[in-house]
Amino acid sequence: MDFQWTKKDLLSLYDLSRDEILHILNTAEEFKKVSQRNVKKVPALRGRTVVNLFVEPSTRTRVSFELAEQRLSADIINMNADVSSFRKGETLLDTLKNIQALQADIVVIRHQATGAPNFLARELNMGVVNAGDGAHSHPTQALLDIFTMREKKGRIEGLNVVIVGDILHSRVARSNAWGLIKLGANVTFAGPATLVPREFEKIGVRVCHNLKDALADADVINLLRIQLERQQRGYFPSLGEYSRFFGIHPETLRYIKRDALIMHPGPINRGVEIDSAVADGPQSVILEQVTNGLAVRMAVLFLVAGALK
Amino acid sequence: MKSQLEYSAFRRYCKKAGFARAFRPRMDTHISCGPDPGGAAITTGQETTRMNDYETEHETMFEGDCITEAIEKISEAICEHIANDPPESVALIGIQAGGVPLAKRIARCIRERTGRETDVGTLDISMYRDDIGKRKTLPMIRETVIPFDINDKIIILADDVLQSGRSVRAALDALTDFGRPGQIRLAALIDRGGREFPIHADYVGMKVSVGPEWRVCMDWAECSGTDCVFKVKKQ
Repeated sequence: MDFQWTKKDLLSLYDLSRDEILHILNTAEEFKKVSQRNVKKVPALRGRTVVNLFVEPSTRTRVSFELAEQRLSADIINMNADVSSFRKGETLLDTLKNIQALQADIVVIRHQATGAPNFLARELNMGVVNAGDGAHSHPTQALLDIFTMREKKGRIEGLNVVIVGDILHSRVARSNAWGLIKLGANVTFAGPATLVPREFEKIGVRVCHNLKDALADADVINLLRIQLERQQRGYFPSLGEYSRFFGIHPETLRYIKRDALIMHPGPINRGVEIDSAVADGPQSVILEQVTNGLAVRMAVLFLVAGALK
Repeated sequence: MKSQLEYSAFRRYCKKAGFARAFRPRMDTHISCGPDPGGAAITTGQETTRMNDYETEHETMFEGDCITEAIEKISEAICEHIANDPPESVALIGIQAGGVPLAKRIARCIRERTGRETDVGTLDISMYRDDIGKRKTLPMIRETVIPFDINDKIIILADDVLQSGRSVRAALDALTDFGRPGQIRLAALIDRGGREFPIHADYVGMKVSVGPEWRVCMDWAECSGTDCVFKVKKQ
């Protein structure tokens, strides 16, 4: 039962053991209660400084991290790519070494380059929390998804989880798969063949190009956002066609399990991957995911801070 | 099952003694810490680790009835103090983890003695500690369950071993985030001296004087099968 967290960074669920993932989830359960109290703040990170460095733009993840840091009483510095010295040509590492010289404790980083957080974690003494790197990893999103599944279903082992959409470009899908497989779930990736290559079978997931087959025994359906900006590249003929074959509509609900959860990491394209009637329906836990994200991020920051020397 | 229990007690002991990491059974090694081969066999996954003995000096201080009597003594003092207060105005809150069984047992003693029911809650103080990052190991967050309103109540905090007073300081901060109790009192099973904060217990089960080179730990029957207070030499 007792478990000691020793990592100063959270980079990817790929690096974590089953016990480490469970420890984060268990810790997050207690942090969730903090946000339900009258006083929604604990002094756990008092006197610590957290830098939010979002080189790739983000709203919801940044807000969630910021609020998590505030509820842990940390001091916060927010930086983004436009205003920082990146424009003047400073390297990422130099920028962060400067921040480290100011005695900041943790950096939360989102970067378009795969592996940027891993590189920084090796070079810096600060704790590094990955808030999304390229198409590689988004560990806190996967943790909050898994947390929500476990909370709603009571278990992860044996759950049939189907992730639908643009798997090829999705760090959320990869992170979810690494975490879920370690915890014993059966993971299926579904979507058009151009976006769901068979190569994914190598990491232990089932690949399915027919939505109806994929969803038949699904306990959890996690829908990914169709990134409209990538639509030009011709991965599928049109949004309308994608929506018709891979979107979730009220009619879809007829052939899936009645207690299947419908999840989405946001932001939603209503009418593309999901219809409003489903997104706002009783099976949807999309807003609960947001609530749980805060608890999971508090837990991650708390654990990382505790492992810093 | 027995080895499981012994293992959990051992782990708790390791953690309190501050060398949890060094002694965590690793999947790939057989840890042998002493000459006695009769230790508990601990199965972790498919590997077996053998824990033979505590490496450092340790000594049992109190066991069994002695501890029950101390809890009764605390309960008697509490009953006297709250005799004129309505039952619903008093609640016990155990500090995780050692204070929780104490709070439950005090509540049972109060019920047996006076017939009155007392609310019992649990409080985890990990998020309120002043030494995060200074400790070798991060405390494990346990459940905080306070299923009642603490405003204007007499809250009796319970903890197993009182030493520096830092846990109690953290508990006071944590508790006041839940409301504004009328009074907060402190019950400690063992007061071992060595205070670093101006904090004292209102109800003390046993007072002992133990040098700073020792750690005083407690095993509860609820967790490990027997009540036992023991001291461990710090490394």
